[in-house]
Formats: sequence, C-alpha cells, structure tokens
Amino acid sequence: MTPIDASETAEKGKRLMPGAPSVTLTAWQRQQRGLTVSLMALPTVAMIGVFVMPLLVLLWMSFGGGSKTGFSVQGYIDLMQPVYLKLLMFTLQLAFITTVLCALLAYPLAYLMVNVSSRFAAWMGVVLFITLWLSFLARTFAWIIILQRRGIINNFLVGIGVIDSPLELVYNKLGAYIGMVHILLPFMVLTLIPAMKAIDPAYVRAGLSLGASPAKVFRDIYVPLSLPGLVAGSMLVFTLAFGFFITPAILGGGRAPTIVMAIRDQIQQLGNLQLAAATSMVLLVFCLGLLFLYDRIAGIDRIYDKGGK
Amino acid sequence: MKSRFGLSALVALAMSLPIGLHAAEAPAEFKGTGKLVVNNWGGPTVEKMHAAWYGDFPKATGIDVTFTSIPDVAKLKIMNQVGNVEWDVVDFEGAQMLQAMKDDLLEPIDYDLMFKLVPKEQLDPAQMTKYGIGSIAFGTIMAWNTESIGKTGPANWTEFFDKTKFKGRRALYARPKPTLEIMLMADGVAPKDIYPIDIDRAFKALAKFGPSVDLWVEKTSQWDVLIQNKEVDLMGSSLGRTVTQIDKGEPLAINFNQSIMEQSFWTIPKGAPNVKDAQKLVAWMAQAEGERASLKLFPYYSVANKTAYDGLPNELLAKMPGTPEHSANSLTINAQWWLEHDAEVQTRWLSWLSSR
Repeated sequence: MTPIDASETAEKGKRLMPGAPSVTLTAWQRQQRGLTVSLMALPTVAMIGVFVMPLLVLLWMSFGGGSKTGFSVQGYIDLMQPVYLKLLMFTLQLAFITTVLCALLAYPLAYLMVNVSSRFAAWMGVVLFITLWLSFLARTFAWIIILQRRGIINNFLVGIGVIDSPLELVYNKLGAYIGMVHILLPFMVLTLIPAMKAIDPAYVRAGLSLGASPAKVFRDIYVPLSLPGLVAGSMLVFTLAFGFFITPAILGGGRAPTIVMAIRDQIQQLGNLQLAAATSMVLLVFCLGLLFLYDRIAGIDRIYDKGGK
Repeated sequence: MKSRFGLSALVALAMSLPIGLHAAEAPAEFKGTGKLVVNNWGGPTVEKMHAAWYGDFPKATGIDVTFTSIPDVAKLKIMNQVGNVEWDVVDFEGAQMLQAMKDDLLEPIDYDLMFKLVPKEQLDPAQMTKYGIGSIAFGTIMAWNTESIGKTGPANWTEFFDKTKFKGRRALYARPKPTLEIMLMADGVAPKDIYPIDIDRAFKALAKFGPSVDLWVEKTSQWDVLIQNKEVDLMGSSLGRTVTQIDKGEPLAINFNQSIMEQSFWTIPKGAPNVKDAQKLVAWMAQAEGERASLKLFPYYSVANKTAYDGLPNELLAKMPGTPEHSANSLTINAQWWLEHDAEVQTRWLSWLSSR
C-alpha cells in the first residue's frame, strides 16, 4: 500500500464514522453512507435470523419456553446423570481422535495436491468432491460392504491365507473411526489446500539457498506457514465429528454411543424438547470452552492470516 | 428386475379391483375438493402401499392426496406451537400417538362418518381408539439362517440366546423397545405377563443375555445388508424385511412364537389444514378392499378390518402375523407403559450401552 492510499482510507473512515461532529457531510457523502448502511443491513439481518435467533430460541426452550410446564431448570437438572457425562466423554474422545487422524492423513494429501502437477491435483480434487456429494448413508453402507466379515478385505485376507477367521473391522469402535475419518477427511484437505497455496515459494527457496536442509525448511518454514489451514481444518472437523450421528450409530454396531444419540432419543422417543435443548446448550458451551482453549494454544486468529504474511 | 415386474403387476391388479367396485360411488358426504397431505414412513414401498390402500379415493371423492415423511411428534408439536400444521393425516406408532395425545395435538376420529362406509362389526375394537384407528401393525420376529443354524431354529427367546445349542452371531435392535420385552421372555416371562415390565429384572436379564448379542442394529434398512451378506446367523429382526429377503431366496426361517407386534394408527392433527376431508380419507382406508389389496402387497402387516383377511390364499396367510394361529402367543407392545416409563428406561439403556 502506498502512503496516499492509507491516508485516503483513514479520511473515509473518519467521514463515515457516525457522530463525528466536526465534519459536515455533503449530499454525496450522505448518500454514500446510506448505501453502506443499507448494504450492510442484509448480512446483519441474515446473521441474526439464521444464527442468533435459533440459538436464542434454543436457549429459551432449554428453560422450558413453549412447554406446558412453564419455565424451569428441570432440563438441566435431568442432565445431571452420570450417563450423560459418560456419553459426552466418549463423544469428545471420538471427535478428538478423528480430528487427529484426519490431520495426519490430510496434510500429506494436501501437500501432494498443491505441490505436484496441476493436472494430477485437479483429478484428486474431483475425486474428493465426488466423495462429498455422495450421501452419508450410502458411504456408510459402502464401508460395511468393504469391512464386514464377508467383505472385500476379509475375503481377500482369508483367501490368501493371512488369517483363518475374519477380522472384526466393523460394528465396533474401529468401524466407527474408519467411517468418520473417511467422511470428514475431505473437509480437512479442502481447508488445507488454500493455506498451502498461499505460501510463497520464495520463502522455501530462500531457506534452501541459505543452506538449510529440506527437512529443516519443511519443519521451520513450511509447516508454520500452513498452520492457519490446519487450525481451521481441525476446528471444522472436530465440530462436525462432535455432532456426528448416523455413521457411528451404524458402523459402531451399538458400541459407539454418542451424546447426539441421546439427543435424538430425547426428541423422538421422549418428546422432551426442553431436555434436548438443555443438552444442546451444554454441548455448545462445552464446544465454546474448547474453542477458547484451542485459541490459547494454537491461536484461532491465524485463520484470517494469509500464508506467508 | 423380476420382482419389480411382479410387484407392479400386483399393484395394477390391486388397483383395478377397488376401481371396479367403487368408481364414482362415494356417498355425498364423502365428496370434497381439497388436497390432503398424508405423513407416513417413506421408503421405496410406501407409495405402492398407499395406492393400494386408498384406491380410487381421489377419483371417487374429488379430494387429492399427497405424501410426506416421516411422522415426528416433536415436529408436530412445533408446527402446532407456531400455528402452521402441514399434515392432514399422520401414521403414528402407538407410543407416538399417546405422546401426541398428552400434548393435546390430535383431533378425535369421526367414527360416525366411518360407520357410514364400513360396518362397525368388521373392525377390530382393539384398534379403534378415540384419536386413532389402526393402520398397520409391524412385527419383530425371531429369524435364523438355515444354512448355518439348520432347519430347526430357536423355539423361543430363551433358546435364541442358548450359545451351546445354536452357535452363531446374534443381532437385535439397538433400542430398549422391544429389547426389554425380548430379555424378559428369554428370562422365562410369558408374553401375557410382560406388562407392567419389571424394569430391574429386565436390565438384569439384559446384563445376562446382552453380551451374547454381537451386533446392535440402528436402522431397519440394515437388516437387508446383514441378511444378504450373512453377517449374522440369529436375529430379532423386522418381520417385513425378513419376509422380503426370504421371498428373494435368502436361506432364512422365522418363528411366530413370542413375536412382537407394534400397532400404528391413522391420526388427524389438531389444526390440520383440512380436518373434514382427512376424516373422509381415514374412514375410506378402513374399508376391507383397500386393506386386502395392501395385505396382498405386504403380507407381513396386520390391519384393522378383520374381513380383509377373507379370501386371501393360504400361502399368504402363512406369512401374516395377524392370523389367529400366529398371534396366539405373540406380544403386542403396550404403548401406554412405554409412554410412562420411556424416560427412565432410556437413561438406563444408554448407560448400559455406554458402559461396555
């Protein structure tokens, strides 16, 4: 940016600042301000309507809003049962391990897609997108076909004589992890790619020309610069995994019960919207707490950084 | 492909029957002009089923019918709260209907109107309640793979869990209902003595028999995959799904002893856009012709109109849970009990499930 640009922006900012009495606005400036306000109105209303309102309604419902019994903290009292803590802990574990596995798998994948020929990268991108378009349920059942006792993997291993009886690959926690990592991996890859693309190759060249080994350049230059993508990706994957329901329910074979299954039962079986809303609010607070912790460790504001700046 | 042609032929046959009998015959009070939205369980078969069920209702009455899925009391509750009920007729499970009644979400069924079309004595009184008339009852049944287990399978739920007598992998629904009932029957309780459920005894039995279940099934659609791939040998599975797989040639046998039936009901939500016409459709669907046509398509449900079974071939009756022989020692889910105890059972169930 040139200094002239900067001063102009500052000027404009001052002029647009409401309640700056020393500046008299011309008709053109007033019109410009009106335009800015009206253009901003739409996203503001959308933000409130789509995100803030439903949350407030949920909060209201969690205290018995809209129910026959009136306002109470009964929903939160009902939550004080050890089973909910147990389900929450397992769900956290599931989401955390899934996120770590996704990060470990996605990083080299994204690196490959960014750093090899663009045609190959384009093909891999297509494959990733196709996976995203297929329904969760179809992909979940596809994993059953692969992992089950008479599935592709077991038939092959038994056929070549490596094992005598089929391995238990699905309908347990392992199956749940495989399914979740598969479904969430594209999200991690697709957030990593732009972050890696934004890394200026000059930094890497500079490091190499100054005599650092490729491994050192990768560790000390490339990885830190790609961190924004990793932070954003892991937040996205963790949040999605936290709320995942159908894949662990089916592939887990009853051995991977998550807190979301409890919410499902609260709504569909018990019709207890207050309890379901209270559970969701607790989950939300929990997620925000984790986010705060994550911010302290990794720095969420990195997401808005551009690679290399 | 073959079975699909077979089915469409059946549909054509089923649909041609009531048209011949009823075309433009609807009594004056059944005429209308509106459009009804029926909310039911969806899936690939539901349209055929309803085509058979209501037959020429739109033609005879002038009232159009469209479908949505799936019945959900919580959703209805919210639609009711905001004053925008979208459904005219809902196919609720028994427990769902009671839940909806508790929240005062349903309109009473107009039986006077129904009896103008269907003689009262044809209908099963057990399925005629103030806010709903029996639509179908679906079954959970003992089934086994005849190749791995043999022609003779478990005679009751106690034998079902007998690991020395039947070596193989077992699957049940990952739900407390009807798992608690199954556990009690395995523990030696006769179907007629199940209710009120002794919850402590049921969970004790679950602790005993539960570990021999290899796989807990989340969705009904999983049975097809499990059966076709021979993932399990013994199962407490959906009667409809199992019979369909047997008809496709899978080596399975079923046993109606201690089978579990759960009754669903046609209901009309309070504040539905078109309550009057909804009453007409609900009455219309209680007629024997439509119910018989639907039984021919899906010979594994039971229906409210007892005369619907008349004239059905024996090989169809052999699969049906509603015949006297098959229902002799079956258990019907007590929806009232579940409504009162669901919350307590649900937490204990989840706690058991998550402690393994």
